[in-house]
Amino acid sequence: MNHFIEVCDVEKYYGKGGSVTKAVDRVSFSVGQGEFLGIMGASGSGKTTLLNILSTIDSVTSGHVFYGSDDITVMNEDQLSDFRRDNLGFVFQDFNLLDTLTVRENIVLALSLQGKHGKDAEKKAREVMDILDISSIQDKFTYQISGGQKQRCACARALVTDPRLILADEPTGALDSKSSLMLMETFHKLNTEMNSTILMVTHDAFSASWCKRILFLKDGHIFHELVRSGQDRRAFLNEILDVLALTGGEVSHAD
Amino acid sequence: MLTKLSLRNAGRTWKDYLVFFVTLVLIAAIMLSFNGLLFNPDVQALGSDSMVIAVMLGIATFFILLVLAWLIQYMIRFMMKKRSREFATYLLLGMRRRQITHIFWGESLALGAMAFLLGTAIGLFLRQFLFACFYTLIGKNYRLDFSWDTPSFLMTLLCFFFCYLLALLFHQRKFRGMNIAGLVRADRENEHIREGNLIAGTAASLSGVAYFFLFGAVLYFRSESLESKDIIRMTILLILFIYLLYWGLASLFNFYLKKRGKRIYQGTNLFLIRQLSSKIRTMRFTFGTLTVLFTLSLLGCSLALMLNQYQNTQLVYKYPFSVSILGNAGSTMETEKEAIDMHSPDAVTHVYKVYHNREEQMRSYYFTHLRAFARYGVPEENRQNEEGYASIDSLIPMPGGIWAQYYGHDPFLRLSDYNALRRMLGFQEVTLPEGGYLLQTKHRLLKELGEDVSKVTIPVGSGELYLAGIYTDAFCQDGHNGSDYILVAADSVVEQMEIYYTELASMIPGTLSDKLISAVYSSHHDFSGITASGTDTMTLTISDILISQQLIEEGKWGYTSFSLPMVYIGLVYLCVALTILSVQQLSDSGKYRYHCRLLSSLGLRKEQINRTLFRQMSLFYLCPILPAVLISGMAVVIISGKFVNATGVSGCALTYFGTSFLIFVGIYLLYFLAAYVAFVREVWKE
Repeated sequence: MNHFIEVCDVEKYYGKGGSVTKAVDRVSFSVGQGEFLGIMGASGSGKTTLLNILSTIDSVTSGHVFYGSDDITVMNEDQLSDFRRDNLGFVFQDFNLLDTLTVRENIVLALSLQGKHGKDAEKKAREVMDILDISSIQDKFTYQISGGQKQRCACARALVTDPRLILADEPTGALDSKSSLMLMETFHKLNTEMNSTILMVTHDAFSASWCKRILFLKDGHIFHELVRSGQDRRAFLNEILDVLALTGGEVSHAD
Repeated sequence: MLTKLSLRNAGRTWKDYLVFFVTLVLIAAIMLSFNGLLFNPDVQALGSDSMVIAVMLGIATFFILLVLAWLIQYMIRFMMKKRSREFATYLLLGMRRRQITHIFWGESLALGAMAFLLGTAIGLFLRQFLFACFYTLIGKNYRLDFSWDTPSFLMTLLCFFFCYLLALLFHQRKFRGMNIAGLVRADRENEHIREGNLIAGTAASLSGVAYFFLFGAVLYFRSESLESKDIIRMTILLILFIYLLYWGLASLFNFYLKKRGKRIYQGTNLFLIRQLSSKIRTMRFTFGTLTVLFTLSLLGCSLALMLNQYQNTQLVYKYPFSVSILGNAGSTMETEKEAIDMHSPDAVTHVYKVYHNREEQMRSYYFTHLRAFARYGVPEENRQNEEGYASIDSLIPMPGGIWAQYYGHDPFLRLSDYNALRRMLGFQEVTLPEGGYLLQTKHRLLKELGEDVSKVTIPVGSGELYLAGIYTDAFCQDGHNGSDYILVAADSVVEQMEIYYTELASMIPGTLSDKLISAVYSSHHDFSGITASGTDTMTLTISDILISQQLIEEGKWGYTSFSLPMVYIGLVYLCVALTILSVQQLSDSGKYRYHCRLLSSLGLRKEQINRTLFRQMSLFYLCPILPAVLISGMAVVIISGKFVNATGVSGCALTYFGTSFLIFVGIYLLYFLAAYVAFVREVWKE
């Protein structure tokens, strides 16, 4: 497995003067191509901050993040916009779909921004919608479809540009159990069949059990790592629950 | 795709901010209508008069553009804040800031264009109404005219989009500086409740209220001695104190809550006060601005009504004769009379003399009893000039000291001349008892003269004349038939006196032709050289020749030039202020949906919650209006009281404010009800 994302000694502080909060404290790890990595931790452990840094939403206080040879911590705003457009796909808890566009248009927009138009873009969008089983709702507006369908639409938009990394922040947070299961099956399919690299932040052990590797964060540090090496999902879920039992009840306000 | 996104967003904005859209449509329509006046051929044909209205409308347009630009920038800032998460999504998708700026500009301009086009269509109809009103005001007939007016369309287009572009440019830098994390944070803002320093806030708020009353008291008791600079200072302080009131108003509510006032636990009062104080704290600057706009709006409409009332009644009162000509003592007025008779054979003309007996009893009485002179005290000496005409050492300083209010001596008219003039005007003839005289004066002065005027006796020869009666019919008393007053005595008594000057009065049926007017002017050569004016302040024409048709037309033009822009400003400011209130309230419906569910789960019935919402919205709407009504009410009642006294116009001082207040309340209720219905619908939407 190639280490094509390298997180080196990343620190992130919030606040000024006497009230500085260390949200991420000298974190280093790598993500291999085709990996499905989960980040877990109690509320305020720094997991969303870390995801925001990896997704260029937030900047680092110190340290570096390399995507291959590209260091995103030294890029200017325009370079970051281009980088996001060409390399990243996002799936968030609250979907972040544009309500003035239909499902198909939301997906095609991502391609349009890359300068892809016409039949090629339509064909690509159709392929992704077929994979995610949302072709039947492609002409509906986002307020006309269910939460699960919205999240699959967000997945399709994240996937359609063939990003180097799909970032998911609590993707099942607003879904019922059935939709959550469907979404995780979709992620699994994207990861195993299409070799998509996925980084998912979640506090839901069931969702995390679909990952291949999980980093546990506590007070801004990586304090544990679980790797799913051959065991079935249920056994991995139990392992996750055991680790969570150790961290349970700890709350900080860094996040 | 980005163009499609822009247009779709514009469509959504139109629905989400319907009140804003409707206001833009209304402003475009009102602006188009008023700009139509500037380019109207009938108006332009009036030469220098059209310049007056052009300048006045230009000034009004400037103030309207200011507030329109403020409204648009306020709404853009508001929408940007509400849509910060959406912009974050754009950035996440890899859009550059420039592209987001283009999308936002595109949708804003598309929304503006939709509003402008709809406003133009409505403006064509509104223009008919405005023109009909305008023509009525200036005493002319208007025929409906739906023809396309390119200059006014272009001017409206220019003004409207100038504001739009200005507002967009103002927020341009926000796009340059935005980042995803900041936008997501902005989406969550407005949830903090900071109480601040309660004592300082409460004191600031109460000082604001105290200043309002001080302002009213100064205006009421000291208005006579106020100079322009005092009024400017007071107004600046008033605006500062308005902002101070709202700066601390939330603290005042919180102070009450902290003190656990008795009423907070009654019904949903606690919820109401907390909601209101939170809203006021976040909107304190906006509330201050809204109060200023409401105040200006009410003042503008009230002043316009005053001027309208004046022009409709007082101009006719001032110039009752079709033609009045003043000549020197030796003038026979033959050429003038011939000119009138030649062009209008049906004219009824009377030439007569005005006399004096070197006495000034009534003049002194007027000096000592009229409010106009009160500020300057009693004259030490009322010298005559060499010709025995008006003295120029008048008590009220006049521009360059070129004329005086009153003649040097009391002017007299023979009873027979007076009755002849009364007949011409359609009044009943009067009789005069032996040894008496009559006082013909202006209606507005009657109250000021008091009862003691009846004690004024006039020495004639070896005896004295006593006041036998006072008449206040329209009589052209700005220097022609006396200034402010003239005394009427028996022919035999008056004929013993010296001739002061000669006067011609003529009643001419129908409209006076330009030829006649021109002939009258060119026929007059025996100039009077007399420059007494009376104490009227609103309209004053000092001339040997007064032609009522011209003067009334000019007067109506003058007052219409002032009153129309005031109505224009008043209407636009009112709509802008109400839009801000409505949009602010409607944008909170999401938050209120949650609150209402909560109140419902606490056991409140739907109608009780709706009642609470109604009370909350009413308070929210009343908050910036109450001080505005208080301030403008005080100002208008005091100003109009003085206006009535100064002009003699009929009507109670409250009439003007009451009428404009009713118009104001009508528009206010329309906005309020529309916002309330939309708000309740949003709150209970599944």
